Amino acid sequence: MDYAMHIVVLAALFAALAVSLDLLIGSTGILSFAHAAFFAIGAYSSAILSVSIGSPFLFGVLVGMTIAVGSSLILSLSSLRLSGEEFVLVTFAFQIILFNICNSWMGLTNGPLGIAGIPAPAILGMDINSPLGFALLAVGAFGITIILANAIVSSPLGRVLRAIREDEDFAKSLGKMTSQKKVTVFAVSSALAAITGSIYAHYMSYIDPTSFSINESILVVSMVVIGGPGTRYGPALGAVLLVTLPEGLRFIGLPDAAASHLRQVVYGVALVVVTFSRPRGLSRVMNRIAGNEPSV
Amino acid sequence: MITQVIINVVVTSMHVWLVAAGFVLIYRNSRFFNFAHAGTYTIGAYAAHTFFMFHAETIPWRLAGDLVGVIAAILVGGLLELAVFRPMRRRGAESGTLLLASLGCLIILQSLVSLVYGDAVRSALPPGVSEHVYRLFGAYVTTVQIFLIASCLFLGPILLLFFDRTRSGLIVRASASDPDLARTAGLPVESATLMTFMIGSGLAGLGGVLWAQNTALSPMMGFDALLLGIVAALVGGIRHLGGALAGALVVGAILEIGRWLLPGEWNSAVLFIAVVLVVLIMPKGIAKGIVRSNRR
Repeated sequence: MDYAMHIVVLAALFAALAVSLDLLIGSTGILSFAHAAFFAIGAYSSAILSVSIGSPFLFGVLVGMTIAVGSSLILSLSSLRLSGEEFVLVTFAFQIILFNICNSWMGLTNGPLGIAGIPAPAILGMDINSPLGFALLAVGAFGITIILANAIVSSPLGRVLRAIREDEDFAKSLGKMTSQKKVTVFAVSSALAAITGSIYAHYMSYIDPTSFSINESILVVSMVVIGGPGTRYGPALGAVLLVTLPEGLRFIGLPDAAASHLRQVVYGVALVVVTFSRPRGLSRVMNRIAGNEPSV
Repeated sequence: MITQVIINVVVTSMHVWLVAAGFVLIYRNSRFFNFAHAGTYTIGAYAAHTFFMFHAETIPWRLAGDLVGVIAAILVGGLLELAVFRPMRRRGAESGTLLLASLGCLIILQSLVSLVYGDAVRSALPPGVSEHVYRLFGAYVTTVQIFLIASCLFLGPILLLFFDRTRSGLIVRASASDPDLARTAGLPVESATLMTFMIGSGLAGLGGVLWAQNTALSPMMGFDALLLGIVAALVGGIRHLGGALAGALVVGAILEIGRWLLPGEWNSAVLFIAVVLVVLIMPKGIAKGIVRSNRR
């Protein structure tokens, strides 16, 4: 039962990550490989604050969000003039720099040894330490993420984002402040990833850099792409699929190492198949299937 | 000491140039960031490694092994273009979708290598076969390093002659600069792209084969090398092999001088901070090639 709850927590957290990344990929058409970096910012802020000065859970969450928003602003404001592919490279670079900080700055992050003994979170005086409590917290975080994502997508901001995705120059010609909107959505998406990271750190009670590498960023992008960018619930389904798949493989009785590589092969194949069958831009086709034609 | 640093810079730069040159060639013709390039690099390295497990005693055997690796990389690169990218392009795939598909291909190739050879770092040569070390102005240089530099000095002019002086090279350049016009003129654009993929993958394969003998093998090696290659391509301008050479020299110098002056674990952070700064300070200079190729 505890094992099932563990899967529920991981699936909910990754679903929240995928939905927040989809605000960039599906809703705006921006590809970013830095989502695990913002996830790491949340996790490490919470972990360091609670272990070293014993700060409360919600304070750690707040600090993590602030740092994530700050660094997302630096990243997005300074790369406004770049093309989409150059921005992809900048997000790659940011992800690698952040992983390097987690892995090498012994004084701050304890490097490869990681941070242990992260206490269970308490919200409004209630300690959360049962598996069920964590499952509720994770599902709650997922709920907040999806409600916020829905609100953004159906707001005037969401309509401008869709216009940016379809034709940014055209949106600009209508007087839409596209740069400002892109910066906003990038900051929101990063803050959401940081919240998820904080919960992850307190749930695992131990974090080390391997959970925040470039591979994790690629994994979250795969979840979004496989689930269907721009469909809102699709990325969540993609996350559930990619989280439960390796557990399923474990039940077949494969050795762990082989199972993890097989999972990689499966999601590599899924990525190729999905892009292969929808070569003309995933989000547009997906939107049409979901029945919400973008209105520019 | 200084001569050793200079030799290291040259060796590292030549390796980065091999990867960057292949990447640039493929980008020029098909206009997407081909992440599968890292997969062909790794396949080349492991193919040569497999050959060396049987024969690596003498220089001719070593050269035969290098050739096996390069041929394997050429075949994999050509196969990917025929099986994945060409059909996708025919159906109007966008560059973002192609990038994701190539990422899927990379994940598949990398995890297949992991499944067969395991994740552990391996030495390319079997135990008992040792590199011959020469002394040059007080610095050390190995046979493989000399071969790496020599093959770049040989391949650079050959590539230049091929693209400037032969009919096939002219067709490749014509279809890169304007595919529609080239098609109208009756040029075999599709086979030119296939040829580009094979040449580019061969260059990456050679880089992988030689770098594996200079350092070691691991399934992630291609990804690390590709990031350096993309950085070099962007720094030097993505339109020219010569620009890639300039970029590779910059990357090699930052890496080796950083390794000389700073603790080793900060290597990738130094490089990528430098990249972000270069991209941010002079986006026009770097972006020029990309903008021109997109807006033809």
